[in-house]
Amino acid sequence: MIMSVNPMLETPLYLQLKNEIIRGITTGELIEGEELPSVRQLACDLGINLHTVNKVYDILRNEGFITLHRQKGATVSSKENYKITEEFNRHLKCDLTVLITEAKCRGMKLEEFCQICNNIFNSLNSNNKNGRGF
Amino acid sequence: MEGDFNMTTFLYYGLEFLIIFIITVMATIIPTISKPGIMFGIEIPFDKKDDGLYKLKTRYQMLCIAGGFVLAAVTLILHLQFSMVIADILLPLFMIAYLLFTIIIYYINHNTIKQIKKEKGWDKDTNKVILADTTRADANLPSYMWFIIHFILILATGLFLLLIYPYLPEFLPMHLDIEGNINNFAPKSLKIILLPVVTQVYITLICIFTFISIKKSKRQLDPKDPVASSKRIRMFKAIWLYYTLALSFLLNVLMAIIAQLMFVTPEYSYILPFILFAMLAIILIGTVIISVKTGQSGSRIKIDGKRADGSIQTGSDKYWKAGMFYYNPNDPSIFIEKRFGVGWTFNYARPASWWITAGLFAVIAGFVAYSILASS
Repeated sequence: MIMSVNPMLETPLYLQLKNEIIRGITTGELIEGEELPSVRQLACDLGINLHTVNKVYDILRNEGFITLHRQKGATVSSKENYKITEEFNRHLKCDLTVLITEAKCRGMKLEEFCQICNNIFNSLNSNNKNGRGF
Repeated sequence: MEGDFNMTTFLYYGLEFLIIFIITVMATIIPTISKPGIMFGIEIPFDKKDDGLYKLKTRYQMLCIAGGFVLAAVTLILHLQFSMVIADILLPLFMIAYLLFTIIIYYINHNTIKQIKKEKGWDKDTNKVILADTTRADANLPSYMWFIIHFILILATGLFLLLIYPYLPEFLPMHLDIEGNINNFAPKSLKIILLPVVTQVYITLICIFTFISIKKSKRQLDPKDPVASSKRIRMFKAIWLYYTLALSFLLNVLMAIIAQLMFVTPEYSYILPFILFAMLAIILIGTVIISVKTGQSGSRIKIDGKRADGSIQTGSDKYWKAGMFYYNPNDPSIFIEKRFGVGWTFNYARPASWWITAGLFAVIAGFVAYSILASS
């Protein structure tokens, strides 16, 4: 799987990287048990600080998406390890409130918003490996 | 030098001219086989195949070829006018002068393009997106285990030399002159008999280091075509890794042959120049051919029938001093692809690069010192 991040965007790098890995797991480009690159290898390939990659792997491990082994390094965990939690629901509602508020403010209707959500949900399928352009 | 014209002498001159030829060819073709989208160390927008830029490239290439002819002429004159001893000292100096000449033309072009880029405002058009492939960096690449074969060979050479040591004469041949005759002997000792083995070890260690650095080098994917560029990079690394393995093995075999011919059967040592010439010719010509077939970072390898064309601009010109030396403290990688040429170079902002460079010098200096001590 090819991941991409852009230091020029508002979103911090570590968040972009985390989202990329989660996206890969969602679309099936990263399968259960698959090895992720080592912290050093990923940091070198991207040309970013090791601490940033470390932080991402730590967060993903805490949230159950990846497991860190001594020899194998980081691997993608099985589905049981990352379910919908109360904290995630809180986080989801918080972020969505921000987006929906501004959308509504700018005059977006409920149907249009739901359609956008539908499209995004449906695009994140196993057969859509290149879900976004640059 | 007057006297009998000798096959060995002919080979020696042939090798000199071959080296001059190879140096000239390599210097000339570098702009053609380097990474597309980068000219003389400066990133260029890939759709701007400017006429002015093309003229700069032609100027560089013509000057390199002309310089090569001058170097060849100078070599000829040196050999005709001066003794072998003086020619041997002066010739490397002239070769270095030629290389400096090519570097100067490169640098002039580099600055010219830098200027053009600024004037035309191309430096505004950058995209800082960076990519990574989650596939293992060393997947489908040859394993370090291949070097075990090399060490077995080294061990076998060492054991063989130790076993026959008692049966060798008291004085061992140390040097062949240009006519293929042995002109220097030294009293036999363990230090001398093991010199070929020490050489083999040094060569193999340096090749192992090269192997490691290629494997670990940064994979710089092209955002315009990430999947194809990832494939190209992998193939590029694989080809040069196998090349390093082959080179290491070939040189180890060569050292074993030299040991055999010089120590065990010196009556056949006259064939050594031929073997050396053949091997050097193969290595030099092979390097050029592989460089042309692969191109920098595999850009000339065809994926789906296409070679790589220029990439987007990343705005990293500022990290490339003179377009040749990479200095980026934010980048944790140590080995990265060259901008001008085929191969890899250091990120000089990492202390490890300096340690490694110093280490390489120390290894080579140590080896030279050992050789001199052993044969004195």
